[in-house]
Amino acid sequence: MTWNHGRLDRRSFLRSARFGAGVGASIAVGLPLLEAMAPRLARGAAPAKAPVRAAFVFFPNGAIMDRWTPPSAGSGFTLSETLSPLEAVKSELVVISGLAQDNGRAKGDGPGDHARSAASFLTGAHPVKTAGADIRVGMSVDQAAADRIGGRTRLPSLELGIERGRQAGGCDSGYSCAYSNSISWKNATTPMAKEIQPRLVFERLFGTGSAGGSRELRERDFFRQSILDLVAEDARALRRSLGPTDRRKIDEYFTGIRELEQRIQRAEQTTRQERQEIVAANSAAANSAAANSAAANSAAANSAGGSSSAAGLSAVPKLDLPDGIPNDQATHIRLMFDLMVLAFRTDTTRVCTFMLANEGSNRTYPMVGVTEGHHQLSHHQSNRDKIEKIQKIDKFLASQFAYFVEQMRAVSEGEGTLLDHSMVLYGSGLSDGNRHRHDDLPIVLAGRAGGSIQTGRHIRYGKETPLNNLFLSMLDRLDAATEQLGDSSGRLTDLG
Amino acid sequence: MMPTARGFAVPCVQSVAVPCARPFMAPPASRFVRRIAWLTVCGTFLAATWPAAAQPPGTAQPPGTAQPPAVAQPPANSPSPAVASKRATARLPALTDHVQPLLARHCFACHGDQKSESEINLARYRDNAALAADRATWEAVLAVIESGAMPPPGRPRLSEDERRGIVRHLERVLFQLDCDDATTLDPGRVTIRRLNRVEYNNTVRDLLGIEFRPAEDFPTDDVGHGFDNIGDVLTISPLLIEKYLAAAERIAAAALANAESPKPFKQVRRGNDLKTSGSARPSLFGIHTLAGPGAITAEFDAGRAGHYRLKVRAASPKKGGSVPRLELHANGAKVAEFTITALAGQPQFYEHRLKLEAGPQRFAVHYADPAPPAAAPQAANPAPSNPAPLNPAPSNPAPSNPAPSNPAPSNPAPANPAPADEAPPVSVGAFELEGPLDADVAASSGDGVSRIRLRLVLPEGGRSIRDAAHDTLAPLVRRAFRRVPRPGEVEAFADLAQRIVDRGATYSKAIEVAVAAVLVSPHFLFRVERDDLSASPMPATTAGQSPAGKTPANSTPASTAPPSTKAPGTATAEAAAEAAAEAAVAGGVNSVSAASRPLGDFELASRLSYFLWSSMPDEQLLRLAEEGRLRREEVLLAETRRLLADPRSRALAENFAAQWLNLRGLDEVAPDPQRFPRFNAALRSDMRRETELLFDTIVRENRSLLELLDADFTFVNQRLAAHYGLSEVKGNDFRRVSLQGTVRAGVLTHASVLTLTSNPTRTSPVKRGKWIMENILGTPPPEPPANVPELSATQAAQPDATLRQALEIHRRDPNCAVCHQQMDTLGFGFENFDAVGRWRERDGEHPIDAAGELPDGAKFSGPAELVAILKEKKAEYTKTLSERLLTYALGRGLTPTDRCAVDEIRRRVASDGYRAASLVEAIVRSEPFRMRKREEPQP
Repeated sequence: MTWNHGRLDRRSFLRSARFGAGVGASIAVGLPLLEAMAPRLARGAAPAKAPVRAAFVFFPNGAIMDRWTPPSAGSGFTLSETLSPLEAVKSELVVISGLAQDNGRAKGDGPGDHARSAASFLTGAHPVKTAGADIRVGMSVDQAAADRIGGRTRLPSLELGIERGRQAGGCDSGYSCAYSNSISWKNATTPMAKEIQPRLVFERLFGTGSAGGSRELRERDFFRQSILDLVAEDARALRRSLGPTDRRKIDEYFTGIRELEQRIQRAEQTTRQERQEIVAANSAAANSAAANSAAANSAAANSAGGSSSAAGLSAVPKLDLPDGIPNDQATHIRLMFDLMVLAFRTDTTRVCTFMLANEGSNRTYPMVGVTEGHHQLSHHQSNRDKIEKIQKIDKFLASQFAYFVEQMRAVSEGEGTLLDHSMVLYGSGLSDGNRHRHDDLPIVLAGRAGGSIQTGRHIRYGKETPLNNLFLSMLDRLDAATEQLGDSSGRLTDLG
Repeated sequence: MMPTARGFAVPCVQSVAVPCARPFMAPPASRFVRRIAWLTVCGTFLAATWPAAAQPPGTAQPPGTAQPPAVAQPPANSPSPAVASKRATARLPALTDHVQPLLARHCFACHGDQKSESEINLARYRDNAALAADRATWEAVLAVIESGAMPPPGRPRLSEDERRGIVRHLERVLFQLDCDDATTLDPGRVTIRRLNRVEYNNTVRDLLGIEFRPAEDFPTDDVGHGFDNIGDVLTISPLLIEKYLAAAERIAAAALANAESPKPFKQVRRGNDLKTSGSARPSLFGIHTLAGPGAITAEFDAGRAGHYRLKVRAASPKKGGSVPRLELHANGAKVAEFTITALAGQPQFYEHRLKLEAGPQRFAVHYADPAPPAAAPQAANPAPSNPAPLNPAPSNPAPSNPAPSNPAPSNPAPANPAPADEAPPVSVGAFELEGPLDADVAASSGDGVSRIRLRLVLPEGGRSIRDAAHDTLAPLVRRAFRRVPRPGEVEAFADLAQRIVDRGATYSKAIEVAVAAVLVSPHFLFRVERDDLSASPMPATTAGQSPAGKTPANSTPASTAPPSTKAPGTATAEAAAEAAAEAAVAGGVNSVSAASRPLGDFELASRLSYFLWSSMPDEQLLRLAEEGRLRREEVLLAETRRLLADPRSRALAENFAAQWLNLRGLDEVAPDPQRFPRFNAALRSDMRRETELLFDTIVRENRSLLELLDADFTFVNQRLAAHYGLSEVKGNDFRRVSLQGTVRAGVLTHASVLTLTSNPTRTSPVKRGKWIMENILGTPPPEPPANVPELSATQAAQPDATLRQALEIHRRDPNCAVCHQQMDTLGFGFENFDAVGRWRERDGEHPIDAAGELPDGAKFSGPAELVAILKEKKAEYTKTLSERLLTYALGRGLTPTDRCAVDEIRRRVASDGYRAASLVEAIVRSEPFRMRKREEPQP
């Protein structure tokens, strides 16, 4: 679907994107244009401040912690073996040790640490043990942010993953699969579904490019608005006739409808103004094309024949998006990271979560020689061989994250980089996967959040410091300050 | 201690120091305890195994000390104990009447004051209250007595009556449930369910002929209770709403492109509909004339692509010798030429057949140079036999002119051109477009071929846009919402179409938008079961909807409901039908407690069709529901059989069986390509297909469900046959082959099950055993503790140990032994099948040892014998399958209050030779399927 609002006329964006790809399975995205779509605040003569973005990147099954944690704290720290792929961006990081997600623990509920670790990871809440009825945990930090600042961008938030939810059987010891498959919770009872196909993410961000001119788009928005009005009224009437349990479901429906309506209304309000800006921006983009594209991307600067709306741009890097799910896991992960960078730099959203696999995932990682399942291996029982293999997975995933941080840093924005204006968290809800530990979690935070985080450090916190304290500090920097989230007991005061 | 199974021959069950569950069982939260007792017993065979004890070891409670009420808290769906006990305990026998003497005779020797195996002392409970207060323990007791695991082998068995007596008593005490007393029954309540992805795809297929499976792009449906159709778990994220809207737009566009109009339909443009240009002049009576440069133009909208017939009604006043000619232009290009021989006052139709794309069309006639004087007789006297004027009978649907480019038959070229007179004028009265003429033009929509199409009613012949939209949408709304539309419902969509037209869109676009709106409506996306409607008193005004003679003979809860529960404002036809049918049926189903109601006919139609087809009800089901007949038992059962016989019931294999047997988990396995180079995506899909086909065949041929465990036939294609070492099958198509004389029989030997229960590099007897315990025997073992004792020392000391030896060492730890004893034994029985299900005699250098002895003493030497043993576990298997299929059919997890229904279902199945249809029919007849607990709306 295409939405007629955004920083740039997205259809011309798409047209240019499509130009080089021809018919078929891939979309080539022309990146220089993106500058024109960048946040209004970050552009222009006025020294406005770039908005802060936040991403939460999750990996499952914990890590081999003594090979993860840097040996020393402070600014002179050296990276561990597992984190060594981050060496090139070490100065952009804070490695944070000692944080805990206490609500991942059993607390009388018996087994199911995997489900609990994912469910509590961004919520700091204790999930209700249920296979079906009364799923409940708590609002996650990304949704707390989206709730406050989501209205400023086209998409309030973006939820990504690379694995579908488990399709059969249970997920973990009597816990609904919703807990293992989701880290983002809109509220205590509604997990945010995640998108796993790169092409569908792209279409969600920028549309399919199939729509016609602006008149058609206005018309379609009118149609959509009419449809949503009608079904919202339907839902209201239906809701009145239902009991409290069924109402919960209709409320979920209603929330989704309302968000779509708001998005269309916002589009109507902003379209005209932005259209004028886009015209100006396009000429500006053309002028600074060389500089932009050099900064934008170092990869595959392969001429796709120019573009209609940014004539004169010759170096158009490509983002090839296959249909469906890429066969190669690393490619899949990197495409998702590319799309996150795109979403942030075009200010299409400021909040994103990404699950590198579902919790308890038993994926294999043949690209680093691991053909056993991740979860199976994580119960290594101190077997040296298994530990080695787990660490290979840990390091592989860290190297993917390093790619993301590098891409974020490669985008210049205002006086600095996109990364400078972001907070990118990388971590797991378990530390020792063998023993299902929920404390001393592996956490890395990249980016300076507009200068309010002092990077290049390894900070150790005292045992049992709630991970949610970090989240409160992040929400402050997102202009979404919150006094309490999950089990937070305060803020981390020494990030800055 | 190595607790071999031989130990079980001794009178008292061999003591295992610590029950497997205990070390990581925390003090019981009520929900957790419930789950243990209902789902988790580690010892159907393994008598020594007890799930969570209610108290920590060593804190045995003095008899009579009541537990805190929290422990006995009932499940959310069961009546509160206070209320229920008034019902059920009024006639409840004392514990000491029958049950305690039985327990004393059969149980106290091991679980009494003298000896308390596994910390269980049943002698210390003096009365029903004490028993109810320790629900956790007694639910476990109930489970093992019911399954026959207790008393253990070697001890005197309970007679069937004794067993049943204890079970019934415990059900009454623990769940306030008396299967023989309908007033205690509770059919449960299904949370409003949205369509899941499969159901969405199937529904739009059956609704509009959409075959492109739009829900493939939707986010995955979460799984609860083992299935992806559980109302409580089917959440709706904003992302999903976006997808719904996008899919609805796509479907609506395809439906319109593919719409079916009344065939062949005719659109007429005359009078002011026609536009003139150049020398063309409108005149009185709507007749336009053309005598020189210029055109008369008409616009149409072709509902879909296909062949059409365009007809122009024209005549020419006789004037001189020349015959006027008109050029027909379609969308700007000349497509035909007419020679106008009809005389003024006797206009004729001139027609041309042509192929059109869907959408707006513009036709024009231009004046061409007159033909030279034609043969006088023809021109002057267009007799009826003259082929030139065409087909005055537009009702003839057969294309009369098969050559599309052939204009109206021209006269033979005259040899003697007459002097050009003044050009004779042509009068044009009307344009008509008929079509599409072809029956099958769906191929023009690239998305899929439809069998069922939207029937488009056009605003013509004085029918307003709103009325036409209404008539187009009314049948769609009825089918999309799977019930009779309520007053105003269709009108709202028709109004939407009108607004869209008002804004300047075409009629066809307006219908498209309205169709999209129908597909985003909550009444389409959710399967709504409204308690408020059927609570309405039956109005007398809708006799047409209510079956005759269905006055509420029984005073049902519905008819005694207070007026305040009446549906706000409307006593709709549906409400009336529901109420009437409810009254009619209440006598058929056991009369029920006031908190429940029978489902309405439409609700039942959807339950049935989504159960058996994963799709919407078809026309017959809807019609039976409309007539109020579906809830009659004989009709319901006949429909059940009809739906089962329909090919769409393959959904049971693809959705139910694939989830019950975890076949969808195959998508997640990744056998090590080095060890299993021939495993690939195609083989993975073949494996799943084989098992689905076996299940489907058992359903379709109404075979015994036990055959699933040991069928002597299966389905393979060439690839799978090669994998199995069966050679005679060629090609990609599956065919049925005999397994007699082979090592395989039944699903437990299917590559699907064997692969999905393996690790990427090796088999996992533990997973295989667990799979059997969970899915076949219904006794899933508890999860292992996180910190399992480390095996590394053992493995380091004995690097050459076989897997079996390593696991035996593992089992020396009593923490592990209790559950692994059974899991591992079952799993090792299938060790002859490797991690992708191929037969093998050796694992590396070790010969396979697939022999074993189960805790109940049954011995086997390999997979075939183990399969035979499992097949004899009819009661456990049937109970498991009944519970799973009922869960799937209802879309909710089962609760203790469903026990009576499950019991009834398994009895019916057993008494009918375990036939597949008997299971499906028993479920359809069950109270949880046909009824629901009310949940009144709250202001």
